[in-house]
Amino acid sequence: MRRTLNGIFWILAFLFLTLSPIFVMMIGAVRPGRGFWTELSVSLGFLGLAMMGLQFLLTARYRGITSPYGIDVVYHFHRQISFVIFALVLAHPLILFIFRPNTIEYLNVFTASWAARFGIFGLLSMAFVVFASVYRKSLRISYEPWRMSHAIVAILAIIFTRAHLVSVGYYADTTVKQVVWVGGHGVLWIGALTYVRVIKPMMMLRRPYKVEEVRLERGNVYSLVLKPDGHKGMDFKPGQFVWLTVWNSPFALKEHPFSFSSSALNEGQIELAIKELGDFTSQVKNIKPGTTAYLDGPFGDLSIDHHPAPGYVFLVGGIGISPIMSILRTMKDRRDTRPLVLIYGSKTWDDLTFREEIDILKDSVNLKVVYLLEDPPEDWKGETGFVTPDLLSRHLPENRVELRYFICGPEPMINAVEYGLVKLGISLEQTHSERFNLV
Amino acid sequence: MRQIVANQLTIIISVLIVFLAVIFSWFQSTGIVGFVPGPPEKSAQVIPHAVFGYQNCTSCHGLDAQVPFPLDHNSYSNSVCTGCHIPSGEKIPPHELKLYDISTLASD
Repeated sequence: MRRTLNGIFWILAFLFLTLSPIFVMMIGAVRPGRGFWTELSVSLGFLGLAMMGLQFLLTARYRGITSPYGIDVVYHFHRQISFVIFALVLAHPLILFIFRPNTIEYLNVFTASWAARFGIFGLLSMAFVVFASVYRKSLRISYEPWRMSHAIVAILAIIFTRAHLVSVGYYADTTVKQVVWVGGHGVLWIGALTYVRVIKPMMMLRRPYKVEEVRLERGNVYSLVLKPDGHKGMDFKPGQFVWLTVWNSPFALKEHPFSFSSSALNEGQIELAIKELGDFTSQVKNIKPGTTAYLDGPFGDLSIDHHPAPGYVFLVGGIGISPIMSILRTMKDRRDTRPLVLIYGSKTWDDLTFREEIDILKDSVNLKVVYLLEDPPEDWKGETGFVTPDLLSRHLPENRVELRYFICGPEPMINAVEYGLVKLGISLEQTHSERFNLV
Repeated sequence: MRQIVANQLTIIISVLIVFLAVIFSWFQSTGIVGFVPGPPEKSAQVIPHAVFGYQNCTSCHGLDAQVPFPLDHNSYSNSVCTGCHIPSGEKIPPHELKLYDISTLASD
């Protein structure tokens, strides 16, 4: 109930802050209207600018905002609303060009006023931010340079567009309005920026971790064992994740998200399971014991503690087993006997990470395990191929509509499983997954 | 499922925002909701010369400039002139207009 109220509060706060420019326009003596289309152009631009500043709040990983929805939903909203913001800001000049054709002359940056130049630079900065994010992979831009340029150009876009607004000055013609726009809204986005870039890294710096062990598991997965250095560590829910920084200061913003794989009750030690997949993860095996690491978190909604149910079904592909191991280990430590089904897919029998421990866990928790191999050995008698409605109907218990379903794995697998569950009459509200493949 | 939540939220907020922008523009363009009325439409003089290449209005127009404007215009920034004064479409450069033509217009 409290999570729902929090969620509603943040939606209303977002709407209020977005609409605040319209309220600000109406403070004191209001300038005369200049016709419907000019006013529409201006109001769309103002609303776009207001939302642009709020984008920094959405990505600040402020737990008050992320916890009611889950951080993946907040990041998806950040991505989707950025297209809307770009459309609103782009509509501002386009409407003017159509209904007041003389304004097209402002596009000439050599003769245009500084107000128009600021507007053009702001729009170009925004276009860079949006297109670089959408086409990062096609353009083969590495994640870290993209992230750095994304942050810097987004700040430039905010500065240019604010400068445009104040220098045009039609609706920001009094000191009060300029203070509200540049000061009030500025406090929000500069505050969010300061929190992410300065305050949070400082907090992380004061709570370092030491690498205790880097343990090789099946399937090119490494368990990174971390111990808090001079503090009590972190409380998390089984199934959540953290952002990990190694070899760098937290101020460098070279961090990567990984799920906890250890029990939430295992105080004084944290484990993250990391599969060799990319630039950073292929270097994890080179981390020496004693190396300092920093964690930002916990985050995530994929936890049994957030979704109470009489039993759970875990549908896992590859390294998606990591958060499920945290859940299984925690349930064992809690002596939780609710019935569980684990459908665990992998390419080969040897790639099934943690399979020995899972088989042992069957003795401690009420767990049924179904292994699913894409490339099985000749004598394999278990399931093969991919998750299908037929396979699900064979292995799900009769009370399947009462259970909660946690899906962890590659995006195509999540889509296929969600489709299969819907075919079996499981509502989407009962299924839980987190997708971070945004850029 | 979770993407759908984010998409629905985006659509609802976008529709609401565009709707309110339209309402605001409509009110502002018809002078409803007690806004302080602006000067009558006819009092804003048409710009009688070319504007392309002459965006810096205050280089010629000002309280003590070559072509003075009314006192209450002093707080307006250079960029808002064409908000009220619509270019006539004339191609004549300003310096080729006879000065008395412009000053007559400006003091009306």
